[in-house]
Amino acid sequence: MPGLLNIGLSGIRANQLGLTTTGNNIANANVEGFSRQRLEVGTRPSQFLGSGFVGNGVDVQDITRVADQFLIDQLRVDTSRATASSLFRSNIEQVDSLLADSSTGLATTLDNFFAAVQTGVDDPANLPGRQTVLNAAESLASRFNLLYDRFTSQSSSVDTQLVSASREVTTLAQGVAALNQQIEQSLRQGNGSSPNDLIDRRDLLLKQLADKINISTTTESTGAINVFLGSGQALVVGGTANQLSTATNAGSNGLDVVLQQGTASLRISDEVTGGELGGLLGFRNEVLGQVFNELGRIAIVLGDAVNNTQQLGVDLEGNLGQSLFTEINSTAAATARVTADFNNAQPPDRELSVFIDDTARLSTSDYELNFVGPGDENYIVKRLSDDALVASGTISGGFPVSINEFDGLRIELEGGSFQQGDRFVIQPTRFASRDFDSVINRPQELAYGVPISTGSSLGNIGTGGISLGDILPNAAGTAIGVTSDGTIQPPLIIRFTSATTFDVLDNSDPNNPVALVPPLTNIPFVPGRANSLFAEDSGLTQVRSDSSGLQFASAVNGFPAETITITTTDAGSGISSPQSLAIDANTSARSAAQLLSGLEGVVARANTEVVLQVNDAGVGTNLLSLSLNGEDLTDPGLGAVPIPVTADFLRDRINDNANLQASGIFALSNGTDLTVRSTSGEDLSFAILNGDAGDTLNFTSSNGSADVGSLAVGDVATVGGVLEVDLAEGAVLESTVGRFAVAEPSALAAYRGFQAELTGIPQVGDEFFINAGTGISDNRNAFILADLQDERLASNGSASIAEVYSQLVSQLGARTNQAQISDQANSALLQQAQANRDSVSGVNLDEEAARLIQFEQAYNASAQIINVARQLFDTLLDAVG
Amino acid sequence: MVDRISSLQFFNQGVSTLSQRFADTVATQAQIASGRRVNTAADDPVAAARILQLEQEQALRQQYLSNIDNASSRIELQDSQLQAVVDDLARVRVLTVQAGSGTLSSANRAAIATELESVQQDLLALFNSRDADGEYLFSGFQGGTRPFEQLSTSVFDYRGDAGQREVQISSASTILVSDSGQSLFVDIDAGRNTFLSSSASSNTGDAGIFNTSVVDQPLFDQAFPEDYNIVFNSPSDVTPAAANFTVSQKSDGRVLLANALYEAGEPISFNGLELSISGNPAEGDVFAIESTNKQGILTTVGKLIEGFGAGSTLDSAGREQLVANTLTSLDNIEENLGFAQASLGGRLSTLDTTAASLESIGIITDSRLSELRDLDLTEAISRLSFQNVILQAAQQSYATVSRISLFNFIR
Repeated sequence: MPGLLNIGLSGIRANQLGLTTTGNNIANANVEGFSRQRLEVGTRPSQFLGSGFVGNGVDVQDITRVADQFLIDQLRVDTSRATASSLFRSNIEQVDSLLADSSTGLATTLDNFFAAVQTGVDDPANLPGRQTVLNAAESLASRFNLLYDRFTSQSSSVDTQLVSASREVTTLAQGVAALNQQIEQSLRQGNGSSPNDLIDRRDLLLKQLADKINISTTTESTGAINVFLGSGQALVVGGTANQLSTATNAGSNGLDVVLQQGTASLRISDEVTGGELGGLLGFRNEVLGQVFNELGRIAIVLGDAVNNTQQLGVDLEGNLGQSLFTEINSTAAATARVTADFNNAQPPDRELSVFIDDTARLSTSDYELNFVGPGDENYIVKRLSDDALVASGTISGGFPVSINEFDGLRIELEGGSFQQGDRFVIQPTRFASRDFDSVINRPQELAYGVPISTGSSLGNIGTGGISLGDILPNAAGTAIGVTSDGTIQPPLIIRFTSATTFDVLDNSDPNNPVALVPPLTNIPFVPGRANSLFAEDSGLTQVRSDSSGLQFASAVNGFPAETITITTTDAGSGISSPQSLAIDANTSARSAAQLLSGLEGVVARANTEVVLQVNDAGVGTNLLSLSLNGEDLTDPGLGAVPIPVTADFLRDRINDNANLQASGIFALSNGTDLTVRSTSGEDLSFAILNGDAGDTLNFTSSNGSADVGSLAVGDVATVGGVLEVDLAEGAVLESTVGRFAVAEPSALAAYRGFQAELTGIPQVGDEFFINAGTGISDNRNAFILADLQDERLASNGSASIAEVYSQLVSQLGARTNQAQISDQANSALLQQAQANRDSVSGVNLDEEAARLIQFEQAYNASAQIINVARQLFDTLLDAVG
Repeated sequence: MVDRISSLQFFNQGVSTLSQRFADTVATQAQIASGRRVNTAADDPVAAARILQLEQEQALRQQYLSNIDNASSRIELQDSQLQAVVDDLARVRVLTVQAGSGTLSSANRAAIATELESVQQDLLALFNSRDADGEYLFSGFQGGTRPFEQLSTSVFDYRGDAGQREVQISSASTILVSDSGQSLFVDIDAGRNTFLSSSASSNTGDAGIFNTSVVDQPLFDQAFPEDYNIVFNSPSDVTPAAANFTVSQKSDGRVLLANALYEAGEPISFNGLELSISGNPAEGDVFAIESTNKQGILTTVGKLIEGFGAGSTLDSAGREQLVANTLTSLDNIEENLGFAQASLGGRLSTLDTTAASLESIGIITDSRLSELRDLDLTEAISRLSFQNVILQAAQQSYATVSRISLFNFIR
């Protein structure tokens, strides 16, 4: 019975192996990555014995692992995703809770600062109140710094994790490569039997690799698996592994992930999306950068606005205010905003810095300055948030070169060998929250006042009033008006020369106010409404025409015909537009002023003045007879004419004449000198119609300069007025020589840097004053400071500082919320994938118990076959024996 | 649904489900403990942004309320000072009427003048009063400068400015919390034309002006509103060399008195006005005379003192005129102060209504804030107990299922 014995033996061997396999499954039930194994058995080929095919027992064919490659791959992908989103989530949650919490965020300290400033508005001279503002500024600054530090330490912890994760990736890759070699060898040795445990171990390593970084794989026919990163960079090829490491990146955003392939090194940070590395890099690029920049932007906008307001104000000690917070454009800050790429050509000699000119236009993006070629002088500037081209040009010509006007920024290239291929990362806002500091230490230095004080004379008769006065932007250091230390110099007095005209005079000597340079006289006043005193055009200049002097024996003023050209150059575009005006000979200053005022950007005024004495011998037969502009001043029909004619008499006659009044002509007399003025610039033409020989008019001055001459009987003399021409910013006046003695008369700066308004109905002789403010009880600037809280300072004037911050918090909150949801989804997917894999490959103990019973029973039965075979043999022996 | 579950899978899943249920329960418990629904911005990003805004509004509102408190106390302080001024002026009126009685002897009048002097000093002290921080109340923006300086009995200099301080009391409105001494005590209609005198700050001598009065009103009115300068010339301009001065009109420089000899205390008169200069004027000293139709309170009282005092040269007609002028001035002063007090009262009531409206808006904001941020406790507690039930069920069922094993039956 060898057949039966063999059959029994084959059953015993097969079932014994079955028990071993089951036992192995039970023993490895809790081993991660273990795939349950199954005994593959097959019927032995049967033997034809005439009566038919007789079975030969069982053969063990193989021990296979139960695994589904699709599920294993899926698990790997889901592991990458889940780890990335969970790391992203835990990091963003830290930032979110830091910024949103009222005890660690910015909102409370920001509110506290402005609340403290409000106490300054309530009580500007109160020192403890001022100290509160300094303390609040201090804690605001330290809150900015603290947040910067916290985010920096989060950033460096990201770097640390990147380094260790990269190392682990390298180790794992080496493990996979080694296993590849062993598997290839085992497959060759095992005649096609697969080395199950090695494959399980390799799958486990690949899963751990996927936990660090997103990978893709291909399987070779030899059994080896190749591993690729990102968009196909090889990490493992067969039995060799490449190294993953880290390196500092351009800009200051921490480390880049670098794949070393032989001697080449590839920066693959942008390709990494999954696993630990993907989560960390995603957090750093999407969240941390934005938070740094947004905080920095808030610091810059706030610091700049507060500093500008401070600088327009006057402090408790009467000095012009100083910056409360760090200057945003300090040399250190401006240079720190640029980082040169390490691949730039040697030597590293480029000097450049970035200034912020307009904080309202500031974005939170970083920028890149690229010298793209052709040649070394062509550059472009790209905004990294949306890759938009914001500036381009050439740097031909010497240094310095400024690249202007994009997003409120200005790049200054100071020197160095800029070359094609040079690349610079520009981070305008990144470090601002680190550099933000409060730099005033003494509470007295808070500038709550405005350095202008106005007043009216106690002797005023009319109901006129003057506004409190404002300092205008760009005030400090104006050529006239506000001095470089911010005080108003000289003090001004405004004196009404009639109910509708006034002069503004230098009141340095209150006993003797003198004309300003350039003069500001005969300004028209409209009673009953607000009249601004000064032009608010910071580029305003004034040109004054020359006097023709007294023209004796002439009824006309003697000005030649001339052409005046006003050329206005637009500061932005550089385009010039000329306007020409032809003025006829002998035109009065009044008409010339009207013509000039018709041009764009020009306001012209005119006035005429002449001083004379009347010399009436008063003894002859002929009574002295005089006329002014054709009006008879000595008409006896209007009342008795004194002999001799006096200055007082002429004054009264001139001032009583309706026609002369209509031309704005009036006269003053101090008993001997007769001063005749036209506030509108009419020509003044005097004639002695009749009189004795020796009766004269003796002139001493015209239009403010000495002009001596004598007018005899029968003579006529005429004087023309002078023009005061105000030119808007960029406008230049040129003229053919005439009224202006030179072709290009010099223009004097006329912007004063402050403003006040006159209201009501003042009377002749009423006086108002403008002096430097002392700032002790003045809260006007504190008011402006407090108003900054609500002012829309950022994002092109669309958001206040608090709004920018709450936008940041809500964006971050939304992002965190999204991260939480996707983390939950990804971990559910991972669980699902793991469950799918486990349900195929995992060990079920109940199943194995059943198998154990199954194999045990079959074993027992196989043993029984041998027993039967033995008994049969014995029976046969007995029968024979 | 997979129909094969490996043992490890069962254990792993059991553990992770249990820990999730536990995490849910703890989150609800944390909400209940803090009383807030939104603990971080991620809990409800939209509400979180709104909460930040509302909290800022709330902080501002608190600030406005404290501004209103400060403004009220400042206005009340001013009001009480003004009331003291009004009380003093009532005494001035009584004394003026009393002094106008023709039956008084010059000694009686001098006694009245002495009492008036003490009232005037009291008024001066009130005008120069300071707040708790030592700031002068009535000097406009020049809070560090004593606003009223006495130069002689009836000549006072105002050294403040016309500044009026504003305080923000709501996002849309501000209120004035100060009035300048000039508008309260100086710019008061005199009822007739008069003049102010002052000595230039550049003067080097120690001379001062006193006993200023309009002696010929029609003549003065004719020249009105002409202003004058009195300039002291070089003593060598006259022979023998002596202190001398020139009076000229300010508008056209006309000389009214040329090189007049200076005699201390002697009246100088021109164009209907009269004044005296005493002391030692130096060459180049300037005294300015400004015509005006206004007269300050202190000057009104000062002129009364000069008119009734021991050295007065006024006859009875002059005294009658002075009493009449003073009574007119006092009427105007009372009107001016009455107006100022009414305005202060108006501001106080504005402050009250603004405070009330701020508080009611505050209540609305509070409830909105609570809606956004605070937890519905009933809902949260019932949620917690429901989660509790689930957690317990999960634990029990897990324990039960995990005990089942075929190995238990292999004996």
